[in-house]
Amino acid sequence: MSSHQPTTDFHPKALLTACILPGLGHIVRGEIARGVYIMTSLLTMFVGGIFLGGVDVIDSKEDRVWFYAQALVGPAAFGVDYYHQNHLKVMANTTDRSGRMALRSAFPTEGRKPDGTVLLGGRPPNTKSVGRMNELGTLACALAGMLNLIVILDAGFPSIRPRRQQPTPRAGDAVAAELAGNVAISTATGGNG
Amino acid sequence: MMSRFRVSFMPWFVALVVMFACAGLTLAQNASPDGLAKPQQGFGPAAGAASQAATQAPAHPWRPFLDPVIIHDSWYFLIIPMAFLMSMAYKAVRCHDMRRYWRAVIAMTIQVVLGMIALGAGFWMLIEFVLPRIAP
Repeated sequence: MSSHQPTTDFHPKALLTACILPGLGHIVRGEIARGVYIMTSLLTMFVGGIFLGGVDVIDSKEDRVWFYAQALVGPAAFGVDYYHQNHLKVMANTTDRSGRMALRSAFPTEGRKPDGTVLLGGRPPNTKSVGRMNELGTLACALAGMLNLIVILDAGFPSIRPRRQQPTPRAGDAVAAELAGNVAISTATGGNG
Repeated sequence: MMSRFRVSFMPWFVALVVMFACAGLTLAQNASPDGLAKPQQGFGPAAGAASQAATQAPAHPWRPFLDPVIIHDSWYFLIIPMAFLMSMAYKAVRCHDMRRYWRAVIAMTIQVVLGMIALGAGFWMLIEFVLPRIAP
C-alpha cells in the first residue's frame, strides 16, 4: 500500500446540505441509513431539549456562549432563536449597546401585546426555565449542535471506508497457497514438476 | 454465527430496555399533567424556596415547548435517552459496518451511563469520606 494514498474524500455538495439539516449530507452522498440515523437522533435531541427546558433554552442574547454550540444544528436553531427574540420576549425599558430597545423575558405576572410591549396582569408568552430543566435542555441542544459539527465534517470530508472487510492473509495461508499451487503444477505435469 | 450474535446482543438489549422502562416509569410518576411537579423534596434550602415560589405562582395549563417540563425529582434519569441519542449520532459516523450499528449504539449507551454512575459514586466518596479527612 502506498503511503500517499488519500484517506479522506471531499464532497462539497454533501458539506453544504449537511449544514442545512443534520444527516442530509450523508443522504445526498448515498448513505441513506447513516443519514436517517443521524437526522433522527440529532433532531430528537434538539427538539427534546426545547421540550424539556422550553423555548427559553435557545437564546442568543442571554445565553450567547451556549448558542454558539446550539447554532451548529443549522437553520433550525436560528429559526427558534428568531421566534424567541421577536415573538416571545417583551420590550424592556432600557436600550442595548446599539441603542435599540432591549428585550427581556416576560415576568410571571406580565403578558405581551402584539407590538412587544408589556401587558400587565397577563400571562407570559413563555415561561423562563430555571434550574435543572434549563441546564438539561440547554445541554441537549448544545450537544446536538456539537455532534452535528462532527457529522458535517464527516459528510464533507468522509473517511474512505472499505466496501467489505477482507480477512487479512496470514503467513501460514501464503505457504499453504504456495504448496497447493505446487501440487496443482505437479499433477498437471504428471508428477515431474 | 447468527446464534452467537444473538447471545452476545441480547443482554445488552435487555439491559437497555430495562433502563428505559425504569426511567420512563419514574418520569411518568413524577410529572403531572400541568407540568408542575409535586412539591419538591429538595436537596437544600434553595430547593425549598423554589418549590414555595412555584406553588405561589398562578396556576396555568402547561404549554409544550413554551413552558419547561418540571421533573426536578428525577432529572437524572434523562441521562439514559440523552446517552442513547448521542450514541446513535456518534456511531452513525464512526461505524464502518452498519450491520453492527445497533449493537455498537447499545454498548456505547450502557458504557456512558455506567461511566456517569461511576463518576457520581467516585465524587460522592470524595466529598463524603476523603475531603472530611483532608480538611475536617
